[in-house]
Amino acid sequence: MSVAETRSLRDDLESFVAAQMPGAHDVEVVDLVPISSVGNARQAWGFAVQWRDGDKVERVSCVMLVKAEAGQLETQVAPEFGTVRALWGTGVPVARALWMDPTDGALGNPFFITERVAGTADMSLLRRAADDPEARTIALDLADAAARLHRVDWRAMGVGDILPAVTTDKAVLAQVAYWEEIFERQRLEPLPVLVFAFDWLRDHPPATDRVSIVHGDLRFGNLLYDDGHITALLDWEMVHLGDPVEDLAWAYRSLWSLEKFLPVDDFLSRYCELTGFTVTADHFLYWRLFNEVKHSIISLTASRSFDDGRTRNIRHADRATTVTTYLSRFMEWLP
Amino acid sequence: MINPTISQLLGGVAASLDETVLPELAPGFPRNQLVAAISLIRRAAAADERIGIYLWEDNRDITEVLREVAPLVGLDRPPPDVDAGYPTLDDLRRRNLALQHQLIAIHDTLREDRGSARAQAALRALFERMLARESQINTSTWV
Repeated sequence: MSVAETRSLRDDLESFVAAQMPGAHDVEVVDLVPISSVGNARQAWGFAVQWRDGDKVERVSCVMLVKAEAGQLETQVAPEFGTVRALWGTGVPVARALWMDPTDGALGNPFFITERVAGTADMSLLRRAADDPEARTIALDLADAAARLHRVDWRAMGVGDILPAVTTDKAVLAQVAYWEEIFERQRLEPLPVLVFAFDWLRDHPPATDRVSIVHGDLRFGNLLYDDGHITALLDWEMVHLGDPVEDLAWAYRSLWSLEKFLPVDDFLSRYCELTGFTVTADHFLYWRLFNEVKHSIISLTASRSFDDGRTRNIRHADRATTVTTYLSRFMEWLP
Repeated sequence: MINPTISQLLGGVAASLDETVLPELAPGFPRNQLVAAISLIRRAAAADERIGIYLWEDNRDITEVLREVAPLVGLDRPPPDVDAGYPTLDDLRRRNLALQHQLIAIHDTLREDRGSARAQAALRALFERMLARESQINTSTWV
């Protein structure tokens, strides 16, 4: 983005923010800079909002996520923003959600703004030695964060009005149906192994006894950490109401697993101790299988977006090749 | 003339970009684009000479299984995979797509009828072999 374009964005953003703060005087957006390391389909910006309150100048540091071109997910800004805003103050580590525009009106694309949280999302932690104490405490913190999230009384918080409601008996199959519908729209060829995989998932849903807020992408890489502790869970694009075990299985996929710092059985023990829930091996395995299929569909969506010319991000071009590995795992783990 | 092969050309292009262009780019989106492009070119170089035999083997294997399984679920046995002439890559791709559709049709029939265990086992074994073959040409760095 050119300097002139950045200046124009700053001006548009300043107008938007000022309109959200009718009681504030001399609202200014300052220090607007892109944060290049965040996300695939969203451009992240850091900035500060300054305003005058009597003789005092107030200031808040912010992060803005702007939906960019097509990518690997088909999601809307409003459910993500609404859920994160509802979770503020519940003990779940989230950034304070400030403002949102789900339309193309203010900046040309939907976006939302949160308060900036201290911490890093640096993935290099995964390369540390297995006995690294900071990595272990972060893994334990992830179990704690999942436990807090999954025990939240989402009905009382009104999240049932933000996310599609599901009943306990339909929670699993609702997710299978959601991803299968995307599969049918995004695939570039019939892919019989995925057809088989979806049928297997539909035929073998585990019994669940609760519906929770499910982050949908709960993992190392989608969190900020500072001094050995998680300061915020990020990237709530796939948040939904569903079976909480989905999140636990996703957190330990091999791409981002903290297994070498905290074995999955220890992670689950911690989680169960905090929640009072039980996670059986079969139930966990089902979601491991599901997640290989889910990630396959995310990859197919990325490839389709590139193939259709809706993104020019070359990282998406060849993503369909990952499906082979994910489905090989699926077949290997299948009972 | 057969040399340099497409694989050699693409491999050389990837190496050139990696050694002469990439070091000149600062961190950021253009550099990320080039890294992804180099990775993709390397995969294309590795797969180019194997794609024909991959499709030919896949088509032969799927056809054999379909011929075995179709009568077990009351469907007509598809004709054997006999080519009149040397198939082009486009022929092989078209045949593979058609076979994928037939495979799904047989799977759907099996599922509705709770068909024979022998047929289900044959399909599952086929899926595993298909993935094993795919993994020979799909060497993604994103897994």
